[in-house]
Amino acid sequence: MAKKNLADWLKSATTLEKQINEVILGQENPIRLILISIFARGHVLLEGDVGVGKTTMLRAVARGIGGGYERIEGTIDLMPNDLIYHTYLGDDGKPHVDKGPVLRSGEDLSIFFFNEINRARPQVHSLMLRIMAEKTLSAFNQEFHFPHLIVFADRNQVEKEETFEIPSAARDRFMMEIPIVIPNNDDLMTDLIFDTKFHNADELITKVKTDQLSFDQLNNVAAEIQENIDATKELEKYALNLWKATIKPQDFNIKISDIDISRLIVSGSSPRGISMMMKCARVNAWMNNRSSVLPEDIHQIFHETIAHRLVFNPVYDLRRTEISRELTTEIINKVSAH
Amino acid sequence: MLRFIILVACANLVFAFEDPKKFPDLDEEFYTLSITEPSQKVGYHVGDLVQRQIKLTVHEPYALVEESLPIVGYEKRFRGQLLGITLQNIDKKINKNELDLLLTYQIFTNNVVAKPAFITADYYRVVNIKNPEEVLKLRVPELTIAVSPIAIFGDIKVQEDMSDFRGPVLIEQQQYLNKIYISTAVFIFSLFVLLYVYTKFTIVPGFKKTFLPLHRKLKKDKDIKIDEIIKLIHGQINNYSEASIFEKNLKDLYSKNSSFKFIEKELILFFKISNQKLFTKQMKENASIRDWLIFFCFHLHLCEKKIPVKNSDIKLVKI
Repeated sequence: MAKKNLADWLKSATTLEKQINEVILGQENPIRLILISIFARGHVLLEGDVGVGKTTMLRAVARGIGGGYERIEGTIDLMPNDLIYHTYLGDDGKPHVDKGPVLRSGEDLSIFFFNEINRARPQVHSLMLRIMAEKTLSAFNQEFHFPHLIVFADRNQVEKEETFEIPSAARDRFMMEIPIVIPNNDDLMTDLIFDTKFHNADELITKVKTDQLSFDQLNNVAAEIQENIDATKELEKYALNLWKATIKPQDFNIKISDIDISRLIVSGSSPRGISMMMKCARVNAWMNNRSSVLPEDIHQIFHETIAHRLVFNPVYDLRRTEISRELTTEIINKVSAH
Repeated sequence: MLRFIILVACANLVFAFEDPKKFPDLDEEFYTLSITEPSQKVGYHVGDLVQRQIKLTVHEPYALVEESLPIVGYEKRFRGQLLGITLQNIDKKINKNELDLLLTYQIFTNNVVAKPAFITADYYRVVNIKNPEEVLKLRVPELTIAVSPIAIFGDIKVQEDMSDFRGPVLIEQQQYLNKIYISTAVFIFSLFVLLYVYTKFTIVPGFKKTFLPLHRKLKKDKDIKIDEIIKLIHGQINNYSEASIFEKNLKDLYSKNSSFKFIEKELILFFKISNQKLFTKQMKENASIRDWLIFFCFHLHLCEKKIPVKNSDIKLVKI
């Protein structure tokens, strides 16, 4: 296959986005954000209620990317070894060891979906964090590499029983936390109820063509995008101010009703977080067919790349979802780009 | 001795209140009388002043008896009734046989209907210098005026309505006139100020106008570069809306002042220019863009002042 240039890649990405949008209704923004994270090579935490289409969306994306797609359900008794192997007695009456979901696809593993990650124990989180950060795993006296891996995890914020809060260090490894909400459109909702094609997810995702993006080339494409999309001094200054505003919002006259803003933030965005934000902004500029990053590119991904990294005062943590949305909106509204 | 003194004093007193009418009239050839009456004859109210000027020349051998002149404070009667008009002041100049009198009367009467009032005739006495026994009189004719009610009957009776809120009835009206003149001048001046504020070109110090000072600055400063202009305009838009405005959240600007919707096309173009100049560096210094930005700044000013910008005035420039 001839080597594709960035314009060809953009065409492929746009086609895939269009196909996924036909399969998953009313989720244009999350789908765009997932594609951004794929081209920025970052892991994604999906947040949403049960049955909103998170898994179907990821399966559709995985088909388009190609490579191995693995999935595991987070439960309270899940142990790290359950990700690596499982043992059973075979037909021959002898014990057998099979590779677990992480190892099953080997180096071709492109998407690993961890369903309800907050139901798993911290030991499991630790293993996942290593895989996410280093893309390696030591098992059976050898080291396995997953160079093309992107982890998608989801958590539902409504149920809190038998769950383990994901610590801030773990949240910081995710490039984005994307909220998935039920589309607020009567026509779309009616289609989801009455259009029978949406009732069978397995058949539905076959409408997305397989291997459109060539998972094994995505790392190179991502690097090329980062190299070719410019950011001017003004934009650098703007990104810097946004970062400062996540640390000391009061310095930027940011106000949220009923919140003592000077006490809200315990820890603002990390340097890793802000660099991930810029990576995503560059990809967004590329996906909008531009060669330079605009403030609007940052706005589109700001909440999803920054909100989950902020550590709030415990007094306000129970209202985290609501406050973080207000805070990021206020930061964008108050920090000047010019 | 004491009895004699009392007798003389009483005789003098009797002489002083002697009826002047009993003396014979002085022949007209021995005096010249000229009276300047006030131009207002009717419509007097309580407190009003009436002035009449009397010039009298008495020819020899007669001379005026000064004691016969009117007395300040004396309220005349007519048929035994007080007239309600008092001599308030007498300005007297006597030069040998020439007398110049300025008599100021004040009205103290009032009525529920317009009613004639008059200053009764005065009789001045003259004496023959050569024959002091010969005392004559000359008549200064009465002045007829009319007093008017202060208000419609039943509304106000001054004597019963002494409200503090009404204030005293003052003789002097000049202070009120002065106040009216000053108020009128201030009113006219404020109309001019208002007119100035509402014109296109207003700039009032401290009035927090945002875009006009910038427009003036941009027009004056020929060396300022496009990216500087863009930053200044952005700064003013952000200041005005108290938010960081981008194309996506223009509604925040509209919510502050919906007049900006009139120039939505220009605003969108401005953000495109801004993005190209500041964030893509694809735009070079360009006179037409520069002029357009200054023009756009003026439209921002009109919108700030809620002056509608017509569609025909919207100007776009190619970038």
